Amino acid sequence: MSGIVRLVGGRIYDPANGIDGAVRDLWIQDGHIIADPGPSSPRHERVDVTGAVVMAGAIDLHSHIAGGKVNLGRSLLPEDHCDHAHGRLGGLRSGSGLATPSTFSAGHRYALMGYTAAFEPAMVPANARHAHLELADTPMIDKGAYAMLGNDDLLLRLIQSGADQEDINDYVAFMLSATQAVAVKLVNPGGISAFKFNQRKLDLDEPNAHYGITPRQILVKLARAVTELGLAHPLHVHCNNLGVPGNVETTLKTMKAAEGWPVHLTHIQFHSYGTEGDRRFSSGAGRIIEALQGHPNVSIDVGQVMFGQTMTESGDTMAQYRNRVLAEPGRWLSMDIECESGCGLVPFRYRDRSFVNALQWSIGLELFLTAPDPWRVLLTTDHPNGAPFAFYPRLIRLLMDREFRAEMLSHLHPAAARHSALREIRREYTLSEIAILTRAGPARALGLAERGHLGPGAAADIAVYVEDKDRERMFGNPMLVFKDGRLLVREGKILLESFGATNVVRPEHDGAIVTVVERFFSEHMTMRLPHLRISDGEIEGRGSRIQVRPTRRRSGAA
Amino acid sequence: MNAGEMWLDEAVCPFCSLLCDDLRLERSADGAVTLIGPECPIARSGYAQAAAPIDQPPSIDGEPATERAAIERAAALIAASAAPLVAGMAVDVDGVRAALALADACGAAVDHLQSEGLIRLLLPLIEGGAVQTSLSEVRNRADFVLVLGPDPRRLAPRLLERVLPPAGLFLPSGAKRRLIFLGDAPEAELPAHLVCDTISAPAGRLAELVGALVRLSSGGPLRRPEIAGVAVERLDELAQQLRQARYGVALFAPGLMEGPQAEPAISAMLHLVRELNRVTRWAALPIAGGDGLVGAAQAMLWQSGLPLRSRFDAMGPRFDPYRYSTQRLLAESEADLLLWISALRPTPPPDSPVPLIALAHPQTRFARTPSVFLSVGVPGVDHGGVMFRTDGLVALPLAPVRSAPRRNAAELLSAILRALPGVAG
Repeated sequence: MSGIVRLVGGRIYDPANGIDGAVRDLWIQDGHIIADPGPSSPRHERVDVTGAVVMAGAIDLHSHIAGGKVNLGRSLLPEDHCDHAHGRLGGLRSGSGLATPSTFSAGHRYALMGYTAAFEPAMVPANARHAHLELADTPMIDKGAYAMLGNDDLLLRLIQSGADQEDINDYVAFMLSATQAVAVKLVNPGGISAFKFNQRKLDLDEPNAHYGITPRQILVKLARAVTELGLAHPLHVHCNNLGVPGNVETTLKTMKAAEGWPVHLTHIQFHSYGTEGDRRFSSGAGRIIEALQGHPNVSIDVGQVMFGQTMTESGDTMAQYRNRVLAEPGRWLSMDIECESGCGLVPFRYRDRSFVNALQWSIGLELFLTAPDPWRVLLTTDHPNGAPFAFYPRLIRLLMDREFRAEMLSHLHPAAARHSALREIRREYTLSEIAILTRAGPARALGLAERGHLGPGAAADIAVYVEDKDRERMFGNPMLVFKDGRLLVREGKILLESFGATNVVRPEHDGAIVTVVERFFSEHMTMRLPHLRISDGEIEGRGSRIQVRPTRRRSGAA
Repeated sequence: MNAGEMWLDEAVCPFCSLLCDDLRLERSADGAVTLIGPECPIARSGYAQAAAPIDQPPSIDGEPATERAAIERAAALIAASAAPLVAGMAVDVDGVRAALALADACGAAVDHLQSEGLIRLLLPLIEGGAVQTSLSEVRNRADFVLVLGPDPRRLAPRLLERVLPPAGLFLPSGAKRRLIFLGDAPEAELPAHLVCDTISAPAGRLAELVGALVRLSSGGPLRRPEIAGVAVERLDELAQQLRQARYGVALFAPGLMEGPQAEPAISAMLHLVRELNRVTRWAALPIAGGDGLVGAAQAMLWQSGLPLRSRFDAMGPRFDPYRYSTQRLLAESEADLLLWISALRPTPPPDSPVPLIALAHPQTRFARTPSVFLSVGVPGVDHGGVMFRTDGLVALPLAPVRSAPRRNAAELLSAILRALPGVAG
């Protein structure tokens, strides 16, 4: 039996267990939280956190931190790295970058903010080995990756040829297992493929020029597959028409099109635009929040924009090609990938003096501040597309501090400030609600049963913050951070570098699908199927533990 | 088949940037590995050089030494160095990761023996960007291929067989792909199923031709009768063909495009491809050098945030593609120690008076005796690992094809790191 640690006197914010700021001790043993042993307390180490705010470690369910597109971003904008380089501190690796940080820097920075897990949401199967190599070099946090499907020619051919839902499910299950993924991401359904056939836009019911099938069909097939396979996280959807004024209509139609199957609509801020006003660009946030009430199957994360330089990187080549005219500095990159997907990179500088950027900022906050149920509205900046994740503490301050919001509003482009619904919004998030947005909510959305809360049996991922009215300072500098019971961070210093687990799913599939995929690869691809598969040894041999998340057994399977 | 002989299917070839994964190999009783097929001169010589797994013992200043002593001497030399250079870097990704951990710990500059081509592409990329593609997309979509500069098959002999077979998923059946060589002539026979043509130009004038194509393809007139010896009518005809392609691909090998006009030519070509995307789909596919260049470039980017030819300074990594080239650092005596890694081929380090630590292919012939020599196994022959393909997207797993006494470069580099003073074991 290993040592017991007792955090004494903290104020616990653990919304998953209904605890809202109660002063309680927290007991840790063998990497887990244990029940208070009562008066006969065994030998333990006391850690005094009197008066401090205690939360579970934070979880980022959508952060582009690993894989080909991130490396392309690093190539394309070395300025981000020259301006944000740091040497070795305390024997830790050096690194650089704010928008596209090097892997060690990303892991360290997350831990220094009290984050204990982050998920790469756009892993192209052909690039999966690369993504896992980068994740292996990302220390401190648990991780996982979502496999991008829905623009892959094999799946589109299956749908076009009228394959049974069961075949689609088998294919999805196979690809998840082969690429060591934990969820499925659908980006611009069918649109990345359409762009390869020179289509420049694709609406929900517009057919792909080659396949004749529509985004709606792809959405339903995949949402259903993910549900029937029993994945905890619903289909993670980046809707069609990202960034286009008026795209709120597409987003609302997409909610309906899911036909009740669970879907998570990601970085919804970029999909909440109307066409009102002189400039034909307005907030659709109100309509999104209203529609959420009628669609209990839908959850969202925001993708908040924060002002400054960043890099946008997306699988959505169609949208990013359109956005190339906004590149700052003026360079952009687009790539078609292996009859599966693509990626587009456009550096952006969001400016508070730009009408459009200011309104984007305002729309994100409006979504947060008018959503009645924080469990279904998760905190992201779509790192680095809206802003680097390092801006989370400032974003939390914006949610918790209306005076700070008013101050920021006063610097905005005047017309955007005039149009902003924020002027009327008085809501300030509570600590408990922040804990939902950043801990309990993402843990529930991803099915991480032992994370995101502080009940007995939970993994001891814990962040302790000294109470501070300046919430940015408070959340940017935790007093203590524990990961699986080990103290990793104290007051801005990394005490111990550890490597977290890689979360995966292994849904069962019928072997017949493997023959189909194998034939497709050997006839048409430039890699044989056995080489697509990533073995456990490739991940474990580079220092990461594999954590298999439960899925449903296949119907009829023993 | 005799005892000890073995056939292997679907082996991944580590010797060029195509990473063909359909090789059939034969292993003889003494461990020698021979390519059965498909035929490729680079693969054939790579496996032949890997030879039988006879090991070269470690040495210090030419005298045989134990591995432990060699590792400790290497660590002591590195610790005493004020400006080490880690170069060569011709190794699998795990070897690169271990080399970077060591380079970071000792404040070394990092370069690769084929980085010239990488930098030649990177600088124009940072200037304006690019539209790129990957091997399977070319194979299934490309109906028009423009080869710019020297024939990239010199680096990747099976290129056309892999990416331009007669049929593709999205090519109309019976349609023939067009392949135009611009600047230089093809260096080997071309497949009969392709419609091929060559527009030659004198050395160093490719950039002018591509610049003219940018102008002509966007409808701009050219008031000269010829550019670099090519009639403008011919170029105009080509420009119209480029616009009519459904999915055009610009193939080029930056590492082969030498001379001061190489970078402007690449820059113009990336511009041409970007412009053509206004009307149709076009993409570039650079063919990289071998020696694990692409993997070294990728791992350097994700671990440091910056490209090869950076130095791990006290204040963090610093990128300078001119300052931190192997050749310049050694020529200007700005490096006082060279750690040379070349596991894939017996490539000797550049001759230099600074102390040399060599983690090298056992067949390497040195101009000067290394201060420390440790022979290393060949990735994909003696040990497994991962390497990246020329498109930078697909990383393939390597499996060992024999059991050999040679050490994996990654293990030795990690051992040297642990032996550095001040680094916990």
